[in-house]
Amino acid sequence: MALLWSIVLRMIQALLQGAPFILTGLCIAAVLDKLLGRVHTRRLFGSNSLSSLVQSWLIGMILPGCSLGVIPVCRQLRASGIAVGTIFAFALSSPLFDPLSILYGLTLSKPLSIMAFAACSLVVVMLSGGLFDRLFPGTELPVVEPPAPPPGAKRMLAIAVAMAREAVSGTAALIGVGLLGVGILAALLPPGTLQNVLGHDNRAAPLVMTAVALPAYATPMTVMGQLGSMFQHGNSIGAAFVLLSFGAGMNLGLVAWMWLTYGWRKLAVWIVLMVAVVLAISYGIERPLYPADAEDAGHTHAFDRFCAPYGAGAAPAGGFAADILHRIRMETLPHEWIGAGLLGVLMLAGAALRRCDPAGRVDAWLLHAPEKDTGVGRYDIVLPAPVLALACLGGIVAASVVGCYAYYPPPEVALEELSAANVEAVTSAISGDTKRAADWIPVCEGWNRRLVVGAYLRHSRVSDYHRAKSRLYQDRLEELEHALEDDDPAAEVSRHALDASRAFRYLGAAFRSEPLD
Amino acid sequence: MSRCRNWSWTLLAALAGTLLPACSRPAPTTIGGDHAHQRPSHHPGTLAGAGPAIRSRTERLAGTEAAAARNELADILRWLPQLAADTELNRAAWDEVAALAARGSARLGDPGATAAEVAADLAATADRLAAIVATLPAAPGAEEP
Repeated sequence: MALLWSIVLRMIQALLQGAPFILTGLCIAAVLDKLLGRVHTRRLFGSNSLSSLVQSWLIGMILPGCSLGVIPVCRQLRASGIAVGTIFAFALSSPLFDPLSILYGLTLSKPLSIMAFAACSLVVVMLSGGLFDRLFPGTELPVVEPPAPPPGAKRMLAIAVAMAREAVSGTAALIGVGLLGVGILAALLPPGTLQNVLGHDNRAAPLVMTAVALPAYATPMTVMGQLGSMFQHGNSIGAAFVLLSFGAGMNLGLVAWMWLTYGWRKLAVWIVLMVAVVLAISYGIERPLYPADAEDAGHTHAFDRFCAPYGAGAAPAGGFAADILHRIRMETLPHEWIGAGLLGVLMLAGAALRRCDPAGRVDAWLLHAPEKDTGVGRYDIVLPAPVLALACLGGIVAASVVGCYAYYPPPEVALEELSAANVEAVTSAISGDTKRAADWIPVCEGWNRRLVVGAYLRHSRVSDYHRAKSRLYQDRLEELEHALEDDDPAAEVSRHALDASRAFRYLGAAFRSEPLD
Repeated sequence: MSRCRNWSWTLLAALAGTLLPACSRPAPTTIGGDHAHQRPSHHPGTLAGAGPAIRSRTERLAGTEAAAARNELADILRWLPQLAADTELNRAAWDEVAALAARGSARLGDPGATAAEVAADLAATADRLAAIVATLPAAPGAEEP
């Protein structure tokens, strides 16, 4: 049964992490459908030209998303008659970065690598998209503009109804397929499989990562954390780029959508083009981008989340279900709970609409303009729907930027949270409560990163001194984690715990008493 | 779009159906063993140990072990900022250690510098490190090499 529980845990984790992005994707698709309209959508993204590939890449970079969240948007782009290469360009670029993950990336030891990765992703999009459009010209569809809802509350309600219907449509099944990809990986990869195969000196590392990352699903933030760990531990830079391109950019659900919409031939050509271009770039950047100061740790934990969490004979003491609940409670962040809750509400509403209104009477009513003027105030302005659409899309981008300030709080707040987590981790380790310590160490690691990014966000710079203190604390936490995993003697574990505690003290003193910039 | 919707549910069911029987297999064995980060033998361990470590290698720069000494010196100089971070040095002192490390690395990689010149510069670096370490409060069990 351990295998089944492994699959269940990994799929729930992926769903919860992806929920805010899926919600955003549903919202973007509904705004494009009900406000912007198909003709304007096609104008915004462009179609069947090199400039349209750049446009799509740029829009994808700006809008927050993940590879599950782009599925409803891709379906809407298809309905707008946009050429396949352009849609694929958007599908690939949108999940790579979002404001949260870009900020995280810019505070890593090698921000230049992240910028180089972003530039390389444009090359991937231009090359594979351009070649694809040349191989398959004429994939644009004639656009039939459906009637738009009238201005006013109905227009807003129409967006909510469109989101609810989409949440239980084929999109939901495709998202399910994407999540199953995570489950399949957990079934195939025993715990710890990828810890020792992605080193800088392993020439096959990008190939191994390609095989793993294609069915995997990861949010931009997760991938950015993995990239940071790879840079720090001297792992293959080529494999890191493959992880970003395929781990964040693709999943089985997206592949299934491409197959069902365009057929296996176009899908195969796209995959071959993508893999060829991404691998060529990966091997090309391996040496130039490899950090000179990287310490080759010989292993990495960055990909443990792609593997099964439970191995043979490793049944949790309280049972699998209790352990899964505990892990979910510890790991899930507030915005993920909110995203999952709202997604659940949408799905319930969508299911109710589907059951009670299969003929779409609600949608027809929403399209029907009121016969009499209900008395528009003299200061009311009827905004054209496309203007509202662009305002909505801008609002989504603005909300994601504001979200950065909430997710990465000021240093004093982060230090307070970190202090509480550090006490939990250290005292648990010293008192021999291995499981509790193992639960709290990732919390400490997360707050340590958020401390640095929050400082960077507010001061535009974080000194090397503060970065060194943060890095020291991260190293000490990892050493403690390894001591716990390897069942080191209690005295050894206590020594590592005290080292971590001392590193935290230095970190706190640095952020409280020294200028950040 | 409707055909796509129907097929996507079918595909989901088919994939889930394929995965379910696999779940009855026994769980695989965990792969991986000792996770400890192995420190090279020439790692000085602490900032206090770095000065003597640099000095001992500068003395070997002109001998038969010059190449090995150079490599080890390069590593030690690279580790200096992190070793300094594991002390109570304030930012100004840490910045000085980081600058010493950068200057020392540049000098070590300077093809125009003779072994004697490099040794003299790095000996001065070791002296300055010793002076900086002397400003630190004694912390039993924390700062000894």
